[in-house]
Amino acid sequence: MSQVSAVEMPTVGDFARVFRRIQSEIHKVIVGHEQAVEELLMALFAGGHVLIEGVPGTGKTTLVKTLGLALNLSFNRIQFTVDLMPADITGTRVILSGQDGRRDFQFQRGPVFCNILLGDEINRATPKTQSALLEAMAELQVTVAAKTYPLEPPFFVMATLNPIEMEGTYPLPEAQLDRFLFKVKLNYPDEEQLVRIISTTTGPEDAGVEAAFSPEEASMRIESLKKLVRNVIAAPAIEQYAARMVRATQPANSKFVSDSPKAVHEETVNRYVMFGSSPRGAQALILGGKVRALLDGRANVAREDIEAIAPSSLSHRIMLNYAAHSDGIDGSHIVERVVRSIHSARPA
Amino acid sequence: MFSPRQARKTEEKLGLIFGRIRAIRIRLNSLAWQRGAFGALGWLVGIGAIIVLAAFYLQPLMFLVVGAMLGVLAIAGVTNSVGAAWRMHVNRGAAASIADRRADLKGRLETIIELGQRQKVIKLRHAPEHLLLWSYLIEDTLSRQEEFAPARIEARRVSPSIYGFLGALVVAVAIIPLIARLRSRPIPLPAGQDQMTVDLNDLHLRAADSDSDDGVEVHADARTMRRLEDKLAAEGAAGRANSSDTPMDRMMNHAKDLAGRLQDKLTGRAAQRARITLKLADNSEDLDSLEKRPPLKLNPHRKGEDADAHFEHPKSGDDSSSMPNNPVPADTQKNPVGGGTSDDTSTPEQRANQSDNSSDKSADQVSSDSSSNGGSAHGIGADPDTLFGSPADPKLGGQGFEIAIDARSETKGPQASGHAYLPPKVRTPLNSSQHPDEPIARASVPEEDRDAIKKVFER
Repeated sequence: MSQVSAVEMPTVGDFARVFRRIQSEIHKVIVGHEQAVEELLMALFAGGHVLIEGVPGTGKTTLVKTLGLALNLSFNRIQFTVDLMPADITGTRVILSGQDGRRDFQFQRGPVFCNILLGDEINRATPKTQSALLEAMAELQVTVAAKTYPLEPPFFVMATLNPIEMEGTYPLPEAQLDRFLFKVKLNYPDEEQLVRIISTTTGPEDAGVEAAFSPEEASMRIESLKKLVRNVIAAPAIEQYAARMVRATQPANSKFVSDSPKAVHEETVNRYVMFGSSPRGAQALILGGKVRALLDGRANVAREDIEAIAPSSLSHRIMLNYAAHSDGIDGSHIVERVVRSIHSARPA
Repeated sequence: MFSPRQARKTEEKLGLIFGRIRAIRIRLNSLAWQRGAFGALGWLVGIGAIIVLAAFYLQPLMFLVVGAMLGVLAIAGVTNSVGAAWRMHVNRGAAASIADRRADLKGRLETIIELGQRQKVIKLRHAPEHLLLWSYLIEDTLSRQEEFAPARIEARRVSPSIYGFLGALVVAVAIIPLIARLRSRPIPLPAGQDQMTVDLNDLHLRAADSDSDDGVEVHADARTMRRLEDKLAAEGAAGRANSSDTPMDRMMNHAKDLAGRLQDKLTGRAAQRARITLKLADNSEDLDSLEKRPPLKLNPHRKGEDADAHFEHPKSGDDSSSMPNNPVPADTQKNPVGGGTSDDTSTPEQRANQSDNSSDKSADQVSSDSSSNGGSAHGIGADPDTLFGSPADPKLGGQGFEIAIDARSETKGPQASGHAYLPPKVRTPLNSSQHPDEPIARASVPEEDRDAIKKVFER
């Protein structure tokens, strides 16, 4: 019997309650960034990973650390640098002496063996090192010297990107970007939020974050909630809606977004997009939609959920051409246009 | 996995939701078909009313064109209405989707409908584990059943398209008295004239023009009729000889005939033909034979085999056809169409003049009720020089008209002389600094230099 089945299956109400509680604990430390925090938690319960992009000082690392505290899960941080090697992430085999004096190769686990992993400034490492995370993120396992080591669930990777210091950085390859369920942007706080940040971080006392779960049951509870998310019903029409949206981001298929005569041919996609979203984008849409449905107290995914989750699910999966860069168009612009187009093609 | 009892309860609740959606669907489809029916009827009634009205006012060819255009418009309108109704028609899934949107149920009903179909195949009690939230969804949706009551999803029972239909009906009803008035209206006589006098020999019979007004019935004495028939036969043969009917003309005539017949049917004018009563000026013929002679009916809309203008012998006689061969005093003869009195004002001298012009010394006097200007003489035709008698005839003097042309000579402008317009020269006094524009006086060449200058120019 698995650990999950040992815990009673949570209800829709339980999910929303736990989610809101974790959210409120995080907001004890993180001022503002409500949407970012919500998307971060949604990715966690959907079983995905998150890429956080933001200028320095916007609380990326603090956010991730606070999440680890609130969930009471094991947390590791890797500061990605140019000289970081894959073995520094996954672990390596070292010669150790046993009690009997014999020396043997033993696998020393790297920082990837944890529940929550923060890859800080992931674009500073070489592609080879970045790729070391691929297997862990996609398959929850690490292979070292032809031996596979499973990771303990839940495994949640949060990588941060610094968009302004681009010298000496290595942009993430598309294959790795695709493995992140959501890309969350952290913008500068507004004045009111900034005042609150100053008052909470410069005082004598730290904000005390209470863990939502006890250390023993945290993993099981989170896994049971993740299973509940998977049980949310997505009607075939909703799955088709998500598929249609993903296809609309692909230049070759953008004109086939709908059979409806009202369908709008998305000219922007043809002009600016080199490669559209992969099928993982559709999976992200449905999984994100399921979490949103549970948060809304529903057991079914609605089109509104898909549309709401589309920018963070698809924008980082769209590869733009030079025309887009010169015209100042980014992935979120494209997704916004696609969502509008698909929405207008919905039956009246 | 559900217990059988749980499954039965869930199925009952599912049935309730399905019932609601069915009711919503019925209501939506009812509105859709109302939209189609009212829209189509509105178009038909409206266009029909306009066509009937056009039949009264338009000439046959114009009526045919306008009628065809209106017909196409009606077909397009009906097609559009039916198409719109078909597009509004919803199946169960679409009804659920509409209910979701209008009740803000976030796809609950649509999901239930879609997966409910599947549940019929996979019985609920054997539902797979991934549908653990199925019963929750049904329960949750049922708890909101007030929000998707049919009356809340679609409050209307009658489609708004009924207003369009009622509007068309109002237009049609408004036209009815107008049509009734047009039908009962007598054919107006020309101002100041209720009778015409023409010499039968001056009549030129020609092909009936169905584009003009209605046909006429001709009533006359036996001798006049005989002469008319002879003339008709002669001119009909000549007309055939001279006829140059092209296929286009024939087609146009067919179209006109068709339109005329259609107009007659729509307006009921067929039974309302104008009548011309031919009066015999010479009473030498036996009156008894005239009584037996049935009236001739002249129908310009139908072309006969013998002549281009057609005379029909109606089966039943008409009282007004039994004309005396003497001119009847005006106060004793009723105009059959106009309803006014037939006033034969021709003087004996005028009749004598007319007789002189005719080849037959016993010229008949033809009297017409002049139902319309030219329309009453339709199909008969006349020589315009002699149709109304001599120019001195005071009766017919008012038939002509003059166009006064106010003309004056134009001295200016390019049209007047054929040359471009030149402005007149104006001389103004010169001021102190101006000099008259005079040619320079020729310079005198000294005698001794003349040879040298001459050489220079010759070289």
